Amino acid sequence: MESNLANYLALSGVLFAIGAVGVIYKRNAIGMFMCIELMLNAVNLSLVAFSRHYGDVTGQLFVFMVMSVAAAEAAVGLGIIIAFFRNKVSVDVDDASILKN
Amino acid sequence: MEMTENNLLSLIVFAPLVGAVINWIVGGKLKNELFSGVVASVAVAVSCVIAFMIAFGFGIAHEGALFIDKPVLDHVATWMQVGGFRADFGLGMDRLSGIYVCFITFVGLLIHIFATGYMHGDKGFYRFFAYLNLFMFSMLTLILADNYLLMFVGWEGVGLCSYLLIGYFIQKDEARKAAKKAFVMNRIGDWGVLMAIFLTYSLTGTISFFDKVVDGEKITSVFTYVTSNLSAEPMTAAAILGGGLTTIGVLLFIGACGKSAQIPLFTWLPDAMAGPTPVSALIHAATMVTAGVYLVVRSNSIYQMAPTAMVIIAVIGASTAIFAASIGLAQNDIKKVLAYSTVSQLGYMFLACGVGAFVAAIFHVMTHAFFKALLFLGSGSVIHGMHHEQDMRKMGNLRKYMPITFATMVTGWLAISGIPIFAGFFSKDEILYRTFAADKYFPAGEFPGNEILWVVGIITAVMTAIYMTRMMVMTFWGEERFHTKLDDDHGHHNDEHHPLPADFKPHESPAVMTIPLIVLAVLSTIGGLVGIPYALSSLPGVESIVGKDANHFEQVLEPIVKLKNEAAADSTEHAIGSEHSAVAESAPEENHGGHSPEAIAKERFLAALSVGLAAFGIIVGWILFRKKPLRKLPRILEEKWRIDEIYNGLIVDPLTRLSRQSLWKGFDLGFIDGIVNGAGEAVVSIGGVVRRIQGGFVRAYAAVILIGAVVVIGYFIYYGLKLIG
Amino acid sequence: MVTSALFFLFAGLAIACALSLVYHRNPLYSAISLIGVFISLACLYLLLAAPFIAVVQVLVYAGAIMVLVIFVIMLLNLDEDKPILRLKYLAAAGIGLGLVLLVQTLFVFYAVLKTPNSVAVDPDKTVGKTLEIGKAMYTEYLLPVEIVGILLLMAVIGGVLLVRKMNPVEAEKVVEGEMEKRHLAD
Repeated sequence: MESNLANYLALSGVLFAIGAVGVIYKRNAIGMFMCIELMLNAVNLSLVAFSRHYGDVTGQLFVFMVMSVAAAEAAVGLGIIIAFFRNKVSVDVDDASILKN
Repeated sequence: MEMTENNLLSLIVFAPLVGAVINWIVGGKLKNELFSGVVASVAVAVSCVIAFMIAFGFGIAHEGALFIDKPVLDHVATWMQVGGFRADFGLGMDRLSGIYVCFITFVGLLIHIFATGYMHGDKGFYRFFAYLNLFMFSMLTLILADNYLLMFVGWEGVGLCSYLLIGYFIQKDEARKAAKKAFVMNRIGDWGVLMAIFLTYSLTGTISFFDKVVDGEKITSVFTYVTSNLSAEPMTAAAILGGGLTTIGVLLFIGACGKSAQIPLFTWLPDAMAGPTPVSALIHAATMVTAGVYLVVRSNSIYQMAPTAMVIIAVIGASTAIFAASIGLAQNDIKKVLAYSTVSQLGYMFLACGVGAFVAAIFHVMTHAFFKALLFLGSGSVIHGMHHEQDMRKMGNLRKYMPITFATMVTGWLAISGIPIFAGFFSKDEILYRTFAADKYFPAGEFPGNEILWVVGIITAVMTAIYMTRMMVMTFWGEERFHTKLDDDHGHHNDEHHPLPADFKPHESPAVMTIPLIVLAVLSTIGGLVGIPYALSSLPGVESIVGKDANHFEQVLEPIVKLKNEAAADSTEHAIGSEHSAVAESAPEENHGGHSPEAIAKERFLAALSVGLAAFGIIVGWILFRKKPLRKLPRILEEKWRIDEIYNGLIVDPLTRLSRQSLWKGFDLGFIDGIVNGAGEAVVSIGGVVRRIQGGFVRAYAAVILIGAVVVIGYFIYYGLKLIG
Repeated sequence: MVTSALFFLFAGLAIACALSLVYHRNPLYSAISLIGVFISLACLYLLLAAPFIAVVQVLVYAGAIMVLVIFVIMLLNLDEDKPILRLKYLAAAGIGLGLVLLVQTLFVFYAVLKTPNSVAVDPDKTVGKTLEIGKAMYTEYLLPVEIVGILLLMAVIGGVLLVRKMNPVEAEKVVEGEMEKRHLAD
């Protein structure tokens, strides 16, 4: 199986771009969070592609770390969203504008 | 040249300092009057004893400082040595400073003892004595310093202590104002001294008074340099600004004016009477105000080569004397009379310096210290007995209640008026004679207008007798006026601010106050006998008692104030000196030119004249005031010729207005604060603008982050593309 | 040959799911789309001979994280995303930035194609085997692993702290205020 590095990197870039647009576009906090996960996964993909290309296990280790961090981030982030919801009864991030000016 | 060294000299200076420190630190905690008084007096007593020891040569290895040619030195520490400039913390007692130190410490000791009684009951007792000791320290530093710079340190120190002590009653508004006034006027004089020191250094390369060797380095004194290397300056007005010796002389005299209250810097002295009476006695009669005279006499070598400066000194001295005497005639506060009397007598001293009679000036300083301190302490005793009432219009017949004070003050009165045997006669008479005969003694030859100055001096002597008689009569004779109500009775002199009880009778002061008075009275009586001039001691009856050459004072001081002509008269035929060196043997103690028969006859005549005028003044005063003590004198005299008002209007008020309006409000508040506040406001307004970037919306933040990321990626891509080509 | 086809299949699937994720307003639909993305990525990992990572991806992401997300969506009873009322400019900005990113991706693609392959790819050498990863994890990369452990501990503590119960009275007041505002806005 030959690996086509360029293809994988292109796919990774596209997914990342979609995720980035989604972060700005979505008003739902959960939606925003999911787009961030998408971006992380895009990066994971490129890491694994490089690891396969160069035959180095480091890339996959890195992916492992990223996944752990993503898991931790999910836990904490969702906790924040819940706490936010308790105060505002809304997960609209536009309502989280107390720091305005 | 061999020097005499004696480390005890530093003890003279430091004993009062130690006393001050002890009083400040420990006395403040103990708040025990006996402790503070004893510590202070013992400190000064130590200085006094050692001073006499070193001066007269008891109990020390060498001969007394008053009798040897070279000064007794004590090099305590090297202060600074930069390039060619060298200033040491070095003390030196020669004949001049020896005399000064002796009478300063002795009179100071008596005043300290007096003050323990006078200040009894005051809450700041320890503070007072700490300041007094600090003052003694500064004054002794001034006198015993062996170079101009250290002397200036003492000069400033006494100015500071004067400020502290005049403003001692910090609650009294007038005391605070008087202290400030004294300090500021002193400061103006200090400028003069500093400029003079700079100029001296630039002209001569040294500021030391004595020739000495320190650490193997030879230091020349200013005066040997001046006499050997520089030439006398002409008596012209241009020489004042010439930057030479005359300029130095004038600048030094400006300093002396500030410190010794001559025209135009004299108005602080009467106001300084707001301080406690012992302070007035010590500082403003006996010691600090004589520092100016000391400075001038110490620098006599410079002055003898700067005749214009001497003329200026003489003129100002004489005019101050008569001016102050005229004001003293009309004052009602007993201390103010004495204050103006001090200014007047200081004028005499400067008159003497100006005509070249330096020995007479120092003699008058010493006798004046005795009788003026006596008069001030006596007035303090009177004030104490009168429960702090100082207005003479409310006194009268006090000789019945305060006999000791009365008796001692009589001696002071007679001394200052110039009655023979009493101290003031000899010194004042000497000054007047020398003024009259100034043409003979003046180093530059003819003294312009010395007869006029002599007339001024004579008139002042008469006025002195009149106002002193007036003071005595109003205080001690006549009917008791304790309860009179006066038109302008503010009562602000009365510390207790309550009227005297109906059956009030003054009482004599305690022994701790009267004993110093008695000692000073004795000194005022016999203190002048050390300086009997030849003309009088050669009188037949007198000669058998005191010996032919009884002018011991002059003999002691002669080498210090060696007149230029003397050195020439020893060897060559000097035009001025030769006609009077009738005495062929150059006996060093003989006053050159003073022993020719015409001179002696003239001196005797003048002496008799001054005695007669003094008696005349006393009689006039008695007649005028005995029956009518409250006789009113011309109002302008009472208002001090409105000098204070003139100064205020011309100088003080414009300066205050300038400071307040333009410098404070305009510059400080407006400009500097404006810059500082403006910087702050600028930052705040910029912040207000920048604040709007923070919208508070998370998505906007995300967008910005993404923009940043895009930029970074773009950068890498750009360079990557360049790599690839 | 087969791999290329499989690659394009899974790639297309991933992109489609990603677009669906961004498009849908209902958070639940977005969540399901995201799961789709994860699954396709797992298949891609398999294509890249990284079986361990693929399985872990499914387990952690699709199995744990997405479950958590759906759980929260259900708990909070989220409504559909309302149409954009404010910050309309962000939509345009977002799309613009996305386009820029895409262009940059294309450049990367081009650059990688252009770069001469200096390293010969050994198709038989697989480093994705569990054994290999395990070996590396516990020898060379021990420290990061341990740190990740601590990180997870912190996350647990943080999570617990964040969702502590508020004072009921306070919570009442806040909820009341918020309800008022929404009713007014409605």
